[in-house]
Amino acid sequence: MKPREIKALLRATPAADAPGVDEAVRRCRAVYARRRTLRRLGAAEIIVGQLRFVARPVWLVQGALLVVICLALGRAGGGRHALAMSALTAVLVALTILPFYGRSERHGMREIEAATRVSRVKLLLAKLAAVGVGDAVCLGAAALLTLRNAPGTALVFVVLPFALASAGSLFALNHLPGGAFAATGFAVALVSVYWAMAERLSRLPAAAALAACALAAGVLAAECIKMARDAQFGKDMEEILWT
Amino acid sequence: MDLKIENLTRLYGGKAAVDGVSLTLTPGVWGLLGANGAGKTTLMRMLAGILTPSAGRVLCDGADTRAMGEAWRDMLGYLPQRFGFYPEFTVADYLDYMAVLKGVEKRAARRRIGELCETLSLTRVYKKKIRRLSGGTQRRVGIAQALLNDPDVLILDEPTSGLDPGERVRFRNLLSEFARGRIVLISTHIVSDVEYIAAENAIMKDGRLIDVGTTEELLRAIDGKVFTALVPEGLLAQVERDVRIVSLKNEGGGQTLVRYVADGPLLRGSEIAAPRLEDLYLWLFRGEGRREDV
Repeated sequence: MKPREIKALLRATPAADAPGVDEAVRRCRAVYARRRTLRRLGAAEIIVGQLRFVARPVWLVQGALLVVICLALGRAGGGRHALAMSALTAVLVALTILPFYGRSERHGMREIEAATRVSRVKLLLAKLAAVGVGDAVCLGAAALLTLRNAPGTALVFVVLPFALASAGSLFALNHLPGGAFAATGFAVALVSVYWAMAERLSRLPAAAALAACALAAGVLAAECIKMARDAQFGKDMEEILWT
Repeated sequence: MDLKIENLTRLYGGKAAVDGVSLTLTPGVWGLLGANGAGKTTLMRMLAGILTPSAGRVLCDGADTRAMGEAWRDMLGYLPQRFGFYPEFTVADYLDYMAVLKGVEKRAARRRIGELCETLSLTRVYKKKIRRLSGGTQRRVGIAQALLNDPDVLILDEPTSGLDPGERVRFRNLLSEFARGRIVLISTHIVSDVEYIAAENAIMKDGRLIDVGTTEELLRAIDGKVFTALVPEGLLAQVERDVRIVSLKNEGGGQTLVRYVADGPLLRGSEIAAPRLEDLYLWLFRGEGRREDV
């Protein structure tokens, strides 16, 4: 038995008077009789084990995107269009979260998943990890190709648009009705800015780019924490069940 | 083992979907009966730990199930009313996925999935996408996932909807066998399912528990209130308007055998019939079938 389970039982156990001890013995026997013969998996094993299911669709989308990135950036050469193309790539990578946000609810899996051993927070972390790993691979490829075409610009034209698009889209998804449309709109606006101002942005000081990245990372972290909190306390769960 | 529900309440806005329900569930099959909107689904969601009660608690052998956390979910099998699945999942993927979420070790999961597919006749569709399967087969996949972790407490919300009669019989037999030493709670609109397998029944109305007991005990409430009578076809429309009819059967020769519930005989030539759970259901829930369930 796990310490948590023992604590829960002890909390519910009556005081140690004679009938209380008898009651405690009865409960201990009941628990012993119910003991499980199946070996149980740890939390890390559960997360790794279900990455296969969570990650597969995410990585399929990201893999397709990676092919497009390599083809587009490989042919782009240098210049303003190549830089804007890098930013577009980074934004598209960030947007791969869209089809997977709220997927459990859309497919009626939330209730079944919530009644299992894996907490919704762990499930959410596994999904974020799956998306994150794929994003890292795609961004790495994009950064390599961008650096080859225009050295020294990866921070402004890969990392920054990715951070801004991720933070903005997650904020929109978490807070706005019709969040997916708002997130897409934000991404389109961001790409337009990069397309129109590629020359000027290429002269952005590294310190300013780093500060903007840090700000976006902060918003992104706050939005991830909000998602985890909502998952933990089940606020949206109750709304979903009731509606 | 017992599962004690203490004063469980769930409010939505100002309205109580479940209102102070107290009940002690012991091993065996329990039927949860009630019209749509009676609060059955809300009660089951609270028992499964996916909905927080506004008041009250659930105790498993004296331990609060909310404090038990994972230990409680390890013991639990749950099939919601709306069975969902990811569109790319095959039956094999789905059961593997659920086994991982339930924390069942791979080899044990493989064995258990094999057994369940055999029992629930899923072997032939094991590699097929769930979205391509019929409603009844999808439901069987849902039942299989609920049984994957060999639960001590099984909560099934409308498990037999969509199953054909043969599947329903097999499912009832499976549950009867499974319920030895375990608690199985079934909510269903198909009263005959509960009548055949439930040792005890709980009846809900407007969020409250209005009666609990074995089928025989509950049926005493309508003892002498169920009648059959032959009605000429010409009078049938009027009888349907005025009498609480349970069933109609064409007997030929322009006569229809009407089974109805009433405080006393309302039709000429009425004979008292042995009451069934379906009669009781109609007696208690007449006119409540159209509200949305919660």
